[in-house]
Amino acid sequence: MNSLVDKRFELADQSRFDADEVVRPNISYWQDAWRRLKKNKLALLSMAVLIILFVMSMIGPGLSGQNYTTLTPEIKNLPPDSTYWLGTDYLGRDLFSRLWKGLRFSIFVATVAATLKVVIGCIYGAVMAYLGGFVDDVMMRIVEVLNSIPYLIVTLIILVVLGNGYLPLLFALCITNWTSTARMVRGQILKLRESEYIMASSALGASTTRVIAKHLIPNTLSLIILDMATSIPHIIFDETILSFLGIGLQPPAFSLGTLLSAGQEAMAFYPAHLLFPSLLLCLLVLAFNILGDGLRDALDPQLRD
Amino acid sequence: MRLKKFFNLLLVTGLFAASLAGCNGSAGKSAGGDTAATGQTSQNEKKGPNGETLASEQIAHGQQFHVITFDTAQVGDSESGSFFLATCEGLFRENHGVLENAGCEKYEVSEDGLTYTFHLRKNKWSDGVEVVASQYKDTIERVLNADLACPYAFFTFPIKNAEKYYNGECDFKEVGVEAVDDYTLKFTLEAPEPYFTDKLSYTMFNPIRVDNIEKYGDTYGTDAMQILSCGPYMVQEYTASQSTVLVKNPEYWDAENVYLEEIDLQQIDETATQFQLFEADQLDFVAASGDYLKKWDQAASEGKCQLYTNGDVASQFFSFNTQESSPSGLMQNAKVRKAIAYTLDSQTFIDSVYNSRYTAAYGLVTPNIKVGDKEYRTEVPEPIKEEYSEYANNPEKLKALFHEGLKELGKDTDNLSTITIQFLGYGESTIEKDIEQYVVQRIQDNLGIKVNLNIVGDFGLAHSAQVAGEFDMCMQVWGADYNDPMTFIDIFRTGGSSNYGKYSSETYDKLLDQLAKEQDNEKRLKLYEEAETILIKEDVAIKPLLYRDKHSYINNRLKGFQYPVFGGKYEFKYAYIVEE
Amino acid sequence: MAKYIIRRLLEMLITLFLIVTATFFLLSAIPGNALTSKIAKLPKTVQTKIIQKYGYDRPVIERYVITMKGLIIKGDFGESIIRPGETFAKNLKAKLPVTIRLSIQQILLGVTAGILLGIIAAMKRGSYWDKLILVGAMFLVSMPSLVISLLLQKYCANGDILKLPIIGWPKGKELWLGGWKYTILPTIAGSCSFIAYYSRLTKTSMLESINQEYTLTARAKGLSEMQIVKNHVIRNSFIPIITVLPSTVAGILTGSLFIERVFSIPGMGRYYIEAVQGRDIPIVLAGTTFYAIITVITMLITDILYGIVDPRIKIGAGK
Repeated sequence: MNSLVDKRFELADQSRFDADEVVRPNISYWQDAWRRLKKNKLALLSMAVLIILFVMSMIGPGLSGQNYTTLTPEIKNLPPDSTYWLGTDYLGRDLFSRLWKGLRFSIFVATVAATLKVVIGCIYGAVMAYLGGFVDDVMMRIVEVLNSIPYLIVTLIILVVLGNGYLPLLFALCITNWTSTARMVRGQILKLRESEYIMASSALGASTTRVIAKHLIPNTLSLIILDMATSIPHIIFDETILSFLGIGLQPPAFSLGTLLSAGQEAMAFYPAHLLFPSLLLCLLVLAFNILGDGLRDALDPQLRD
Repeated sequence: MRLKKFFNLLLVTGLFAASLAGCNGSAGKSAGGDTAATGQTSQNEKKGPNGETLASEQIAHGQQFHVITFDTAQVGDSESGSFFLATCEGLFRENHGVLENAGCEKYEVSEDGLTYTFHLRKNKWSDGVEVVASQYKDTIERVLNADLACPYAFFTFPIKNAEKYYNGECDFKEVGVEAVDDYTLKFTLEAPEPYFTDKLSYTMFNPIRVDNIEKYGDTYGTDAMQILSCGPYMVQEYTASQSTVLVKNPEYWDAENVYLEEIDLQQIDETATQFQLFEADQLDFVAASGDYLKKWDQAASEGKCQLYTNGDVASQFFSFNTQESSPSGLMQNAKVRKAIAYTLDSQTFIDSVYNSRYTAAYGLVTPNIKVGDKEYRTEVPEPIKEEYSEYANNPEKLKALFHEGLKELGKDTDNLSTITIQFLGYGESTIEKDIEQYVVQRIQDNLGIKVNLNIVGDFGLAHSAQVAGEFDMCMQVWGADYNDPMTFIDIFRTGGSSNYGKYSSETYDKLLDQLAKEQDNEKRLKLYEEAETILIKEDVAIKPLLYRDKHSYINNRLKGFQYPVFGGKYEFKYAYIVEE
Repeated sequence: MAKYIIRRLLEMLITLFLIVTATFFLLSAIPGNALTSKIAKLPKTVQTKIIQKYGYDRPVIERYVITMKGLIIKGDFGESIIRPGETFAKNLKAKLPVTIRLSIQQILLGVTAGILLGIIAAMKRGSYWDKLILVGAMFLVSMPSLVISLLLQKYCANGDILKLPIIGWPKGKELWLGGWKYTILPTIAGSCSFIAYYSRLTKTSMLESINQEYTLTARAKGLSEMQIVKNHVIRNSFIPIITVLPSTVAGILTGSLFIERVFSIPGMGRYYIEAVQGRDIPIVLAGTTFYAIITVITMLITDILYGIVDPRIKIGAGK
């Protein structure tokens, strides 16, 4: 055998191996999403609007310094002036302050109910997907039953049994909404479990914890955030409808829905009483919707350009 | 948004029953000067009852009645009652608050007040069959059939043996109703009842056609098209919760004095829509509501429409829980109750939250209620009007009274803010709920105690809380069932089913027993006055708030249209359309 | 396939049974019942008689057994308590056509307009058209349907611009066809949210399929833009639309409440909610069952449609 001739080997050009290296700075999925969200001017604008609305709902009620809780019928239905910036309502309370106070409650209810819904839905969905088999069947049937009963009747019964207050209302709003999250989470986890990259990751020896932490959670999280963003406007509407039907909050508590319902009765004479709550509600929902849309674009990896 | 409007109706406004002679003049003034007088009408081709030029098209447009049942035996609300006022003829018919003979030409009452003999008028059903006395008798038999569980069956109980038959204790033959011949009807009573004819004019007592009822069996009462008419109008078309078309009934005995050829009724839920249609001349009458009141009162004063106002026979008040078991444990003391009651002035209340609509109440019995031919409220002053003025806007005096009451209970305290009372409110719409805070505010401001407001928007829930006594004070509304103060005074008899505060007074019960025997109207007036004073001024079982009213607008072209005090919401018989 | 459908239908029966049971006991658990407002004013003797007539003196379990027996023997839940003699079936016959026509018109207008706008927005991505449609859709979806209805009624009915009726709905011979002037405003009011929803949905799912490899392949093959959109993009972007369509159908049947109220339309939504608020148990049970059947069937149809639109999905294939 001939001895090895070094000539047959020559030093490769090192730069060829660098070609595969990522030149871009290594940014995480979330940084990437944030980067894309920043590019979406409309979404940024709606985020700013939401922040302003949130801040106003906190400081707004005290801003004009006028009374908005005590009934003073002597000054009812005043037109807007320098004291009462938006006028007073049918019982002589400062409309400007009430508007922000109502907004505060609407935001509060929507975010809390949406969070509750997502938490319950995730746990339920994950348990369904994890246990599978008979338990999955039974749990799925429960979801199906809840889904098939018109939500109004469920809400009505809950509010009637538990009375009308903050907690029953939150409970009622989330019980009719969580099933969709549960189904979505279950579907997503089932889909991911079967997907090639998770199979590959397990085959490469990744532990279950790693699979859950690195793949299942991040890939589900974006969906969950989206779900929450889109459900907030829905919950705001639902709460409005309940207040409209007179089964939402009871005085002295009030929300935008309550203001709308009172405003509708005064529509023909004091359009402002309906106009301002409608506009605010519209703005709030619009901002949430646009932000939700922006989030979808930012979080959905398939639309990456 | 008031989805439950019709439950509300059942509960409160212009309830059922009949009306007796009276109310003339004081009641039912409509700006149009429509003093249609039946009987003296000269039937001229184109002239109305007062010589007006009639429009060639005699069609009225109104709102669909929320009819709950088309079975007269089951009627218990004024909307269903309106339907039967138009399509049926009972023994009497209310015209400008006066009860006129309708199905009967005349009647006699025996000396002892026990026998009523009615001589019926010749009248025909829309299918040509005669209206006869036995059809009135069939009504009594049907109403007393306990299996049908008719709500107002108890109206027949003054008739001899009626209650016994209802409870299955005797045969129908023994019940005091008799068709002497086709046109003579006789009632025998258990005990004299001065307001019996009043009850008789209630829808439930209208004649029925057993053959027609048997024809439809179980479904009878569900469709307007099943109804045979013996009144001024008959049903031509009916679509549930959408529209009804009534046309003139040619077989009606007084058809020549019925002007409208057609009545078109449409269901319109939203108040805003109602007024939009009214403004566009597509609706001929509409009930005032909220801020529309000011605008249309103004329009009426400018002659753009007719204003119709009249007292309703419904009274709204707060009931106090008089039991030791009340949540606060303080309400068994009359002085405590009085101090709380006098914090709120009924007049200021309605001025503040209702745009001065309704009448402030300082008594229980509403205007328009009669004893004999005298109006009770004009004869008897309201019990607490004077006394209240001593306490008005005087927190010191109110607090002193409150402390006095607490001392009597042995629960006096320097710090009144530690006391909390439970107020059970009721309201279906946002605004109805909102205004009850005013009451809370007045009590808190004047006495310095805390008021816990629990407003329920569901009648079932409110009722169970009331029956269970889960309140210190609660909002209650009562609509008169018949034209006698008894309909109000009787609520607070010991053990009464709507006596939620469980008020119990031996003197009061004794007065009620005395009233049941008394026939002399002067004496009855005195007894009622005594009872009302004990209830409101001495024992303060309730705090009167307001008397409801009827406040409506009518298109200038529609004349003679009425809102009866009892029996139904609308009366079309005397209505006609004038040329404008 | 047939086996699959039969299995699903059997499962549906169990679901329906559970729904009826749950609804019955929940409604019975609330204090007060449909009779409360009817009898609150009456003397006690009459109250007892009425309570006995409707069986409310019996324990809940016994009433439940009686109700279920009635369901099996007679096939219905019995007469209304509030309106004696009326049954759900009778009302269904009168009110369902109204609701169906309103729903069909709303869906036809809302979904087609929405899809068309969505396609335009996706194809002219980034243009002013796209932005206009996006903002318009967002605005429509953010307005409460009640406000839209009230505005339309106030400014478009009986006004100077349009001479449309303020309220009403065609009846009699015109129940299904004709009387269009009555239906215009309610249809527009109801379809606004669908236009908004479907245009956004169409746009997103179109964009998704535009970015797929098969679209790239088609483009590489040299197909015209029109052909690509017609044969590849639209067909594939219909999958998500078809999956939400049945829930739209199910939702619209109760969802028209405000529109039915504002325009005085005698439809199912108003009727059902009145029954719920009045606790008219027989009617509520029947109504709930009715809506549940619609929901369950639409879910079944969705699954079958899935298979037709997307050949990759096999219906009834075991695990």
